[in-house]
Amino acid sequence: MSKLPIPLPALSIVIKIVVVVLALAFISEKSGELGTLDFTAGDTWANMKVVSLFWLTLLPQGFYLCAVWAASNVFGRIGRGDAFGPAMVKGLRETGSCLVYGAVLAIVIIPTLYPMLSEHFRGVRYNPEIESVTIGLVGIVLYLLARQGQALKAELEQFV
Amino acid sequence: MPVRVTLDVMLARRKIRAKDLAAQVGISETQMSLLRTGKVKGMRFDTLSKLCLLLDCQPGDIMEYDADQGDLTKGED
Repeated sequence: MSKLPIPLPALSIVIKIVVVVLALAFISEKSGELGTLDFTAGDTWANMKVVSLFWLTLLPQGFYLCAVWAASNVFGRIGRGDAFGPAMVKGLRETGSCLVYGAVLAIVIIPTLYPMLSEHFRGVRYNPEIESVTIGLVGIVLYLLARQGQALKAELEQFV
Repeated sequence: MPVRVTLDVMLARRKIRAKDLAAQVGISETQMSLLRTGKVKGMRFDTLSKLCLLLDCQPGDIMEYDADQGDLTKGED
């Protein structure tokens, strides 16, 4: 396999640093919005519910950041020449899974849970935004590619 | 009928140990054992050329094949 001009192990570390910075910036930005929420004076339970629902809506982004973290591990393994080894396949699967979980949260779970908990609405709602659907499908493709790559590697190893 | 590996015959003729041959060819002892017992799916040409060089033989000296019409349809599943 020809060497890439990009130092992938170094890129892996850079991506991890970027993820940490993005996560901290995201939490900081969203914490600032806490003050704008509709709190009820004296009702701790209702206020806790409001805060929990607020953080619930941020879960998809959390999973996307986890996917980027898992992807940075994959970059490091590619850089070390680990072609579809068990660790790399696990990294690809984790990346794909996190993308899918984030997408499912954004498309179905949060649109359903939020009105259920805040307005006691019953029933399934979904929000098929292009970004979330795309991310989810890319996650599925990554997961399937990892499995396929593992199967191909196992077959190749049967050639001496 | 698959191709049969007759590597053991050449190893005995040349009085070389399988372990030493594996090390010189650059494959593991496990892979050498699988190769000798015919449990591999295939062999790379560079492995075959190394074997032939080290054993001073031709590919036909370490493999045998008995014609079988059934081989035409195998591997299509």
